Amino acid sequence: MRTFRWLGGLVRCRPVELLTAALSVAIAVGFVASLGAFVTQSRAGLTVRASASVPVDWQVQVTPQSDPAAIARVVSTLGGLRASEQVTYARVAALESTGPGGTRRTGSAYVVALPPGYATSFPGVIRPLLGASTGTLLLQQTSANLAAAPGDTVKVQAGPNLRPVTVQGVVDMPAEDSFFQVVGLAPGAGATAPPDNVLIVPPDRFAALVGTTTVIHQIHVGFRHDHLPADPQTAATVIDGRANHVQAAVVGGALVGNNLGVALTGAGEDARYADLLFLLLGFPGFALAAVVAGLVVALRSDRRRREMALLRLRGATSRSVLGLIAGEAGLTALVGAVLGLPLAMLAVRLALPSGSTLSTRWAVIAVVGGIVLAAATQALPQLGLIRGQGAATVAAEAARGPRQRTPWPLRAGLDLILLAGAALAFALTARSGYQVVLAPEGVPTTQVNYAALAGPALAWPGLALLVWRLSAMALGRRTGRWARQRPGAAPELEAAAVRRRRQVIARGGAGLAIALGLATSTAVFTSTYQQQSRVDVALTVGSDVSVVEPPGSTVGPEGARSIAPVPGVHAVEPLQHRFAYVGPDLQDIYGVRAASFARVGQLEDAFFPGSTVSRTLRTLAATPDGVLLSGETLHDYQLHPGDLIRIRLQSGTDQTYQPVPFHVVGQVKEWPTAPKDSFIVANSGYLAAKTGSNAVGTFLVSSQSPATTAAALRARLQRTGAQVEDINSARAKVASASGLAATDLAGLSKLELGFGVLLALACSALALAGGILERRRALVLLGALGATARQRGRFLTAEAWGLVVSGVLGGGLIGASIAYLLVKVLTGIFDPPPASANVPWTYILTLLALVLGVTVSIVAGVGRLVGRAGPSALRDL
Amino acid sequence: MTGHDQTAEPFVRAESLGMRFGRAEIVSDVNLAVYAGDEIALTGRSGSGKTTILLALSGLLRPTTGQVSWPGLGSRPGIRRSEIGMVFQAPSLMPELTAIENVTLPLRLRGVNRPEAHVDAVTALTAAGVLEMADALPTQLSGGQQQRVAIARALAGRHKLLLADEPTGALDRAHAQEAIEALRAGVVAAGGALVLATHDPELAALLTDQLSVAEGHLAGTAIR
Repeated sequence: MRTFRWLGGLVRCRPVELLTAALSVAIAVGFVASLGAFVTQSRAGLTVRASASVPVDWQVQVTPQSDPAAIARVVSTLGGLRASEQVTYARVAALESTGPGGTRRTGSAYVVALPPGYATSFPGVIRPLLGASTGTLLLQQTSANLAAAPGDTVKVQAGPNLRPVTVQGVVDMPAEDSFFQVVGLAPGAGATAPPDNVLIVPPDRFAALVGTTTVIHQIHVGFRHDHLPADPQTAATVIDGRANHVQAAVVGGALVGNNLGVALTGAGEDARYADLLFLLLGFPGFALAAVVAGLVVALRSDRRRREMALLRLRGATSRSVLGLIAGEAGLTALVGAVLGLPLAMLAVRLALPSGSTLSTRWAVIAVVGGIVLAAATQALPQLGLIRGQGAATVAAEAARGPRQRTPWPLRAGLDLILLAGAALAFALTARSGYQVVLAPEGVPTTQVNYAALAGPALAWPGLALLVWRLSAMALGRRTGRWARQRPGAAPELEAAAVRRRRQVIARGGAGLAIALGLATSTAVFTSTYQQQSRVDVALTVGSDVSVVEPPGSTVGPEGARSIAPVPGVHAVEPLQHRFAYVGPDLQDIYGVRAASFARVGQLEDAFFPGSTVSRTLRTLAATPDGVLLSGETLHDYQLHPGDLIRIRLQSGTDQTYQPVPFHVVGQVKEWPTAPKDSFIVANSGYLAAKTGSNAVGTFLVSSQSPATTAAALRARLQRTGAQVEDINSARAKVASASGLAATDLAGLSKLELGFGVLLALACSALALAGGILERRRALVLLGALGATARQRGRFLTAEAWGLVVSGVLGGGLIGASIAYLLVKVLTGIFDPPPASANVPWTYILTLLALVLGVTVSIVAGVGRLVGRAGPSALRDL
Repeated sequence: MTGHDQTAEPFVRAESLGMRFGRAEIVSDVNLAVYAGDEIALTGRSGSGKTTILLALSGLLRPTTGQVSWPGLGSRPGIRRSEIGMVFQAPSLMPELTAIENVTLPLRLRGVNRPEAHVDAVTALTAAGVLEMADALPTQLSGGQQQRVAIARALAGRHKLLLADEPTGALDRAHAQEAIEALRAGVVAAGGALVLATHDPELAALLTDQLSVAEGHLAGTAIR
């Protein structure tokens, strides 16, 4: 009852104080809940994208002794089934075609029978390119190998006989490797190469074409993905369990190629990066919110100490005082939660993609965090009073001087110990190649190397304490000797006050440094992340806009002339694409105009180890037969710059592979449109001369407005069959290495940057206001001694200046160090790894301007108000 | 009140002074004039209104009714503040400044240069008997020493009007008498006046005039 009366009194008499404390808790609750919503939403996004990326969820392969129809019946009873289709295929000896250039013959080929409704049930498997989309279809690569087009006749050799079919269309199979996978291989057994030659026929033609060749029967299965659990790992478990159930039900009659399960498991691994982001960005934010809450409580600590001292002097027991403190902490937490959850909802609505909502689980975690925060910040500082040690007289409490003694963590050198620990942890992480998400040998799932997080985790408090130490040292040397002597000014006394309050000012400066450091480091991190995801998309598309010629096109570099005049086109570069053998390895080879390629290609120095973009391209341009090889190729074949290498290139005339001499000029890690693994870059002129074909696969276009330019190009080129893609529309589709899409990243950025500003401003405002209120009595005294508002302001300004300078410089130190650690430790999250961090100067300068604005307002506003002595303040003197 | 030039303007004049905080009337209908050479003791019990009258005379509190004027102290802005010194009930030192820095502070705020302020501070600390504690911070001083530093701060200002609110509350009898004598000497040296609030009749008797304050009223006629 006493506690409720006390709380009622607080609500009536100190509503502002209570609300301020609750607001600081609300920021923490809002931050955690909205970050939790990000994690939930990004995990759900991973599940949606992973399941959408799989053209066929299951490939149920019937074992040789089993009846496909019986297996199909079992499959048809599965829950959540969307579609199932029977697919058969067989491997034949060869395909053959005869044209004006003579007879062409492939190696072994697959003949696949797809039922009529297959394309509707599984739209992502076949992509029509030329001619009909159903009937007898040739794979794009096979079409090129046989020089066969729709209307031509192709012969299938199965056994001794050649059986003719008429080609009705040319198609691409984007998921060819998955389609022809060996079902039943152990996880991690390694991928099998997809076939180069595929002929798709209607089921009624299949038996006659393949004869007695061994036939593989599969039932392709698609599920309704909207019923999957939002968490990818949970969804993978559900799908894996369902697959096991089927395999058990058919008693060895079939094996399940669980494409969906594999994709979801992979997404679950990607989700670990989202968890890491939450830990590395979210936890410091929560800690900072705790600092802000602590500062709020510190604002009234003097008065509260007096109140508690009075209660103790008047006989209140420890238990009753504890009850009052606990009641107040509970009320603060309750109001904080009531305000924090709507704040989180607002943040989610503003920052995250539409449809994102707060999850109940995270809302509960945030509220519990708020309660802990309120209890820790309100109760801990008063424990001394509860124990009875603080039961001094009220006057003694009022007369307490500034704490000059260095706090024990600094006396013990805790900052240096923590930083040494951080350096050691970082060095160990660096030695392991910054592998934070590990895939231990023999274990199919990944694990997070939490020890790698020790670097940033130790660096945060270490740097904050170091800022405290350095600020206190610098402030302790202030004498005011060099200040301009003005009548009525007392710089030596202002300096003396700052010197003796250095620990208090340095503590506030360290708090501000943490706030600015958090805002800066997250801004640098998310900005670098976005920069690299843009680079990733640019590498996938090739440039701002790419024009991909249809298969079999013979358009040469002169095709650029029809692209260049299109509005919005800044520069055009042709990019040849061929296949070539380096030893037994088939690799992609790209022919470029080295002297001018940089106009359109998004190239970075980091793509050329040991060199730069300009130097590498200059060298390539100066060496007509020069090639850039991947590090893996250089290593595997013991090659060095200057070495001669013979690469087998496919001739443009007869499609046969002929050795062509090249000289190695350097190493390349990434190239626009190139795959992630090994590839080759050469001069297009040399390539055309040696292969007898200057056909260009892709034209890369640079443009200021990619979407508009792409639309104009589509209109111009629609009759040629060329595919036009632009970087903006591709950004939403291409997921980063962490599996997080650009929309997720944008949401995370907005959340982090928004709360970063909020916390930095709250921190600077509260640290300053706290300092001013703590000096309220001194300011009133100054006024009573005849100091003008300007003179009182100078005393405050000296202190505020010390706090802001140490906060800003310390924030820079913390921000730069933590951003460096984050970018390095989370290297695996970037694709490609950044050459350097991207510093968002606009955000940082705006943040600094806001902090300075708040500083000036607080010093001018609060200082003026506090210095205006009322009757009670004067009577306290 | 006694023995001063009747043609001179008073340093401070309170006419029908009334002070009200909220609903409580603290001081009412106080009429008082303080001239050069006056040494007035305001006596009365705690809560009688002595501190409020002193704060009103200093100009730090604005009267609710009536008026306070300082005809003998000049009218330029800032002059009045520099001419009125105040010793508060509690020591009221800046906690982050040493004893000598606390004494120097009002001088420096008035524009006195640093060496001159230092000399004045040393003189005042000597007069108050705490020179040996010049470099100590307030937290290193006892309550009595702090109060003597506060008295030194008031003396160093060489104010025309010195208002002291229970300045000897933290001092023993001997030190209290010494402090009162030091204040009187300082006022005499500056050609000023002293108004001192105390509830101790023996200390009040050290001054030339005594006025008692009861429930916000001054007993007897104090204006001429």
